[in-house]
Amino acid sequence: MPQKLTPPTAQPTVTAIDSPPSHTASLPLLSTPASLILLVGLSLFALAPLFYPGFSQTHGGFIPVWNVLDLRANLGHLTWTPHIATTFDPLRSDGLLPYYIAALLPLSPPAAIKFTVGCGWVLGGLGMLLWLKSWLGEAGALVAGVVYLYLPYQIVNAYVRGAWGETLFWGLLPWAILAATYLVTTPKIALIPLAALFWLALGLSQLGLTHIGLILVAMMLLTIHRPQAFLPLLSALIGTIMAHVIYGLLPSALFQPAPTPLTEHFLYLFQLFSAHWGFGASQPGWNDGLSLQIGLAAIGLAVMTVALWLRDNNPVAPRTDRRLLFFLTATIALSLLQFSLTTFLWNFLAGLLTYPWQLLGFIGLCLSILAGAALWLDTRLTQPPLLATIVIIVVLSVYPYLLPNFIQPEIAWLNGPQATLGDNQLALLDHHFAVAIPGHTAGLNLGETTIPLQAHGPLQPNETLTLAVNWQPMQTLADNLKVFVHLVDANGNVLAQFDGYPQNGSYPTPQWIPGEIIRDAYPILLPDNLPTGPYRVYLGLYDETTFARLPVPDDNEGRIILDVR
Amino acid sequence: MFGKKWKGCQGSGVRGQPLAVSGQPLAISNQRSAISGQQPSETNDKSTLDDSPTPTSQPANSPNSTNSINSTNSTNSKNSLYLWLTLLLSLPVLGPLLQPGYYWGAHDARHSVYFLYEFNQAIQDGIGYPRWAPDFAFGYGYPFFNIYGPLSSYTGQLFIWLGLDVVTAVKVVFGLSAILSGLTMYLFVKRLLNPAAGLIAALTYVYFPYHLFDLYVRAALAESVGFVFVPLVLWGFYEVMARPRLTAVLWASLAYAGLMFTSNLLALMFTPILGLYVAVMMVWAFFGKAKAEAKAKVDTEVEAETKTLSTQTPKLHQLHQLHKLYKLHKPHKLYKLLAGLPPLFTLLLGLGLSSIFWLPAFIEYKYVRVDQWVGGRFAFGDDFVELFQLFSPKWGFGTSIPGPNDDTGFQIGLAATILLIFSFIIVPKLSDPFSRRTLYFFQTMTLILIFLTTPISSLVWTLLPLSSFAQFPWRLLVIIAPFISILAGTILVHYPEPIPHPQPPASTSHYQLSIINYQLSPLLLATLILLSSYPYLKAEVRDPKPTEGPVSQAALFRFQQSSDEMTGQTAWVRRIPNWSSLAEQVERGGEIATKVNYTALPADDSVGVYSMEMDSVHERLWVGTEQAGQSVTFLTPYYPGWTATIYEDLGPHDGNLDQEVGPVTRVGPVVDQPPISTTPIEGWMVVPIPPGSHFLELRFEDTPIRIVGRWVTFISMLVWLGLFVVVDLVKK
Repeated sequence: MPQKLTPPTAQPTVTAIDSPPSHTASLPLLSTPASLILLVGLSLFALAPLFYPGFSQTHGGFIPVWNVLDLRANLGHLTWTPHIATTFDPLRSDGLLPYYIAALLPLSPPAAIKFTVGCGWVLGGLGMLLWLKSWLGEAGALVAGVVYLYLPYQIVNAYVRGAWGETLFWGLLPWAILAATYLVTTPKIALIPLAALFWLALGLSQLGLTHIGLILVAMMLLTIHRPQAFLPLLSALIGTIMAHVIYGLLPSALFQPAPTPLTEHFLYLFQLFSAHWGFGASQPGWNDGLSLQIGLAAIGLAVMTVALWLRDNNPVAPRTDRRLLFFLTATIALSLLQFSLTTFLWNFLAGLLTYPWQLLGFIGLCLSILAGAALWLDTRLTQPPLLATIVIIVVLSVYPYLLPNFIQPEIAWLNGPQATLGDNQLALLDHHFAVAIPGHTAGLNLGETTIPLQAHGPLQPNETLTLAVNWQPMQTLADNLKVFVHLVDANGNVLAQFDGYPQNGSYPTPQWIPGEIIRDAYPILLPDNLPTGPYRVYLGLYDETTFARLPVPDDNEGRIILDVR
Repeated sequence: MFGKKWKGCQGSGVRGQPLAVSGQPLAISNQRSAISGQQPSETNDKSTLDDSPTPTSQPANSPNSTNSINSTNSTNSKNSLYLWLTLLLSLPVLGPLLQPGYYWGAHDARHSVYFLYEFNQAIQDGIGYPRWAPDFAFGYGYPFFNIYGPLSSYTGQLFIWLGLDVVTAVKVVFGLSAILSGLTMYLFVKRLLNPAAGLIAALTYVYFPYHLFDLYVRAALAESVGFVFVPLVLWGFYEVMARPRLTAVLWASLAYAGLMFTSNLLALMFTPILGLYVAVMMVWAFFGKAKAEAKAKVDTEVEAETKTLSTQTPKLHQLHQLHKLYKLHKPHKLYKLLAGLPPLFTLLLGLGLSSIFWLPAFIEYKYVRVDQWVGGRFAFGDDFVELFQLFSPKWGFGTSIPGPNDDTGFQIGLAATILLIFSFIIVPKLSDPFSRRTLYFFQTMTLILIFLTTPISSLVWTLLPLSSFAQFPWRLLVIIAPFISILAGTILVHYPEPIPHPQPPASTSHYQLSIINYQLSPLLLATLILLSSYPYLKAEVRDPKPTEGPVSQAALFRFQQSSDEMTGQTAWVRRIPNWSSLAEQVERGGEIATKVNYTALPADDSVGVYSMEMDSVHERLWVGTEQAGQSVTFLTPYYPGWTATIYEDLGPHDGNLDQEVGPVTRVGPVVDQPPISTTPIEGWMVVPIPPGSHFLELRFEDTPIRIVGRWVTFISMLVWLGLFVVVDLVKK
């Protein structure tokens, strides 16, 4: 009903940082610097796990660490793309920007990665604040920033999925929108490159999502600021195209087919509102291992906003307020895209994303804005006690989720995998040979039954050689795989072997969670007629039903070859 | 009055608006401020630390008298509402204590029970101020209460006298400490800011995660009781600094003494901070512009009131008086320096009152072995709190272990942290300079103390002797808790100042929201504070293991053996035992009737020893020998205060003392006070006995330093009471 809309110029802008505020929604105590400082302080709970002296177990495992390390060694190679234990897909993979930021930081790779994630995360909140303060006031923008910071999906990205490129994308998105829409109130050609730069950064963080973001922002601009939409759209388009150009120049950056059928990962309605939290991977069907909720606080505050908005005699925003209408409509539309009933629409979008639920970030963005609008609609909510109440509710609603699975990686693991199996499905982090010693032996600690092979000396017949390994799955393993360990002589003759399910069958491979460390040990009973060494071990996994081995690069027979020493 | 900045006082209205509720109290408080040259206060604090005569607020026939009475009643009822809210909303903290049974597995759960058990034994033996715990160290004894604050034990003893068993008494003390800690925090913050802020501060304090950790994970009784006194001490010193007067000095000194009696460790950690607070406030006063600011405030207020009110209004009249006072009063630098005397006197009086405890504890601390407490897993080392732990929701009942993977929680608390962050925006807006500076100090201390809990402060710990008493850096959370709680209260400093809203007259929804805004926001915050700590409001209640209970002497010994923590020894002991014949005796169903080591007596029966009587701190023997150079060994390690006395045996005896009328009638005059020697390894006392038939008494008595401590406490009490009477007389 465009005829009912007031002219855009008469309506306060939603975006520009210097646009005149429609309504003073904040207490004097909240100046912009104070709000920024407050927001950084309030991000403590989100960022705290990053200060753990170790690493978090995420689906990404050590892939970012290995690749950052590799990039540092190849900084001069401008055609570099992440390639260790991963296949780079410009649309769906973590983009190049986080890798380059981490590689250039004077920190250890894990610390640099955590720093990048943390900065990206906080940037999102700060960007929301700066973007929205002219519309929602300092307090409203602060709440929007806090809600955005503490979206469950943000926590999932950082501490469950380890999708650090995506985290950076969500952090930069408000800045990119801010930069683009700055052109609404300041339509200067000279500012276009600056705005385009933000969109380029977005594209280099997560290109697939950038496309969706571009569509969303275009719709927003055309809805709210139609006459002034050209320059902002142009800048966003230029930035996105530049990202495409950069990726197009990289020979190894090839657009890959989807690793998993996107349509199998539609959500069920209950998942958007479920309190379930987990560290597993996304599964076809309803039983995902990770939480895909929208967020209680975001929904609650958005509902409150709608209630305030639709009440009688609301003097702040008419019921035709296009900003509120747009973000409410966008929330509903994006939510509907999570369900299988919108399969037909995904025919156009499927190439951009791995999972449909990656749009949860956009839903969160819209809900955050709506949440902050509550304080714009009723300024009494900006009083410190009520403002603090709202902030506490927001953080409290996700506080239990801010407890990642921490791991203390061994230094050797961070240097790179010893081998990868399958299509970057499984990594062998390290291995140790030991010899089992029956009974209690002097020099061993209580409970120890093996001694390292180096300390043991040459292997003797009838002894039990133990191969201890640390696996790290990098994707979900569909089949229930068995482990084979073959002890061979110098000529490749099998002397002894172990075949069995990992961890004695107590933890089948389909249950392995990407990123977790699986410790296992395989005993090999040495024969009576054990010849003298040297020996080698062939290690691998296979499907018992088909006898198909998990492929290993550089070995056609699917074996990791280890020297016994 | 508080035109430029927010006011931090209760019930004060908005500038330019009718002060129907708080106008009068505000004026009264300002009068006091002027007299003392310090910050404004309120009417409702006069029942606490205020000895100044209550000014007649206004004539009864004044035009506003009815309104004033109504408003005072309204303010009082609001105050009592917040007080009741504080108490009611603190009750859920008692939940785990109301479960039948006891959380025996908590870190110090057994300690707390058996400390009281031993204390009770000593009290039952008629010892008013116990210092020696006879059953500790497997029955050998240990001067535990000489170095451990006794107040929590005395409180527990009170409930034992009321008929409760030891475990229940301990639970009651835990519960009381939790509730009273909220109450004391409320009272302080009500005075510092306003009642609504008091409610928030109190609940933040009660539900502070480390407080719950002390209650239900550590089960540290003394430290839990210490939570009651920290706000009192802060309040006392705040009053002494803000408005120096005798009553404030008296109550502050009593609060400090209470803290010292409760936990010397806490007092040790807290006293330097108090000293720093006094010093900082003095420096601030010396170089600051508090007076100028206060005068400017009054000037502004007078000007404002002159414009809006007639000159006959009591408020304006009092403001004019204030104005004159400020004009007359020109504070001298010397006066500012002398402001340090009241807190100094307070500290000295507090130390004097508690010297019966801390003086011997401090001097005679070197005569106990503390290697078990500061060595092994209790050694200072890698027990810092990682930064992420301060903000992590993790909770558990495990112990602190070196590294970041503690199986317990050291978080500051979600609501507390968020309110602390808000305080950095709010405090600079406070109008009253003294309160503002006090809160600045608390903020600074909070940040410093948080820094000191983290590993990046390890260099500071090595340079400063902090580890010698703080042991684990996370123990500093006990001091962080009150500071953060007070700062959390600042969120309501301007409550209930309304914000104009450009809306038409209220619709139904508007009206409902108004209620939420103005009436319920403290309650909403209070609820959230509770909710944020609710998941941690649990204890691992279970039946006791044989090494824990049911409470008995045998169980105490089994506990000591299993924990290997409470076998503290005196400095004369070289080998710390892990069991004893005395414990074995009790374990087999017997009881300890004597501490004489009969195995050390000559095998030829040349020495006869018969234990006549024994209690916690003495044993009297009949001893007889024909040979010189004989001695009696007691299964008790030496510690200063143990004395041996030889009495003449007056009556003939036939070798069977039981048939005599009574040994006392036969105890003659003192023959000798032989020196006590010790066995080289065990440190057991060896007392030489003269040839012949005698009575030997071994008694644990006061050393000179204990006597000095006792007398200093006694004199301090007299001084305290004397001054109290003087104040009372002056008031009348």
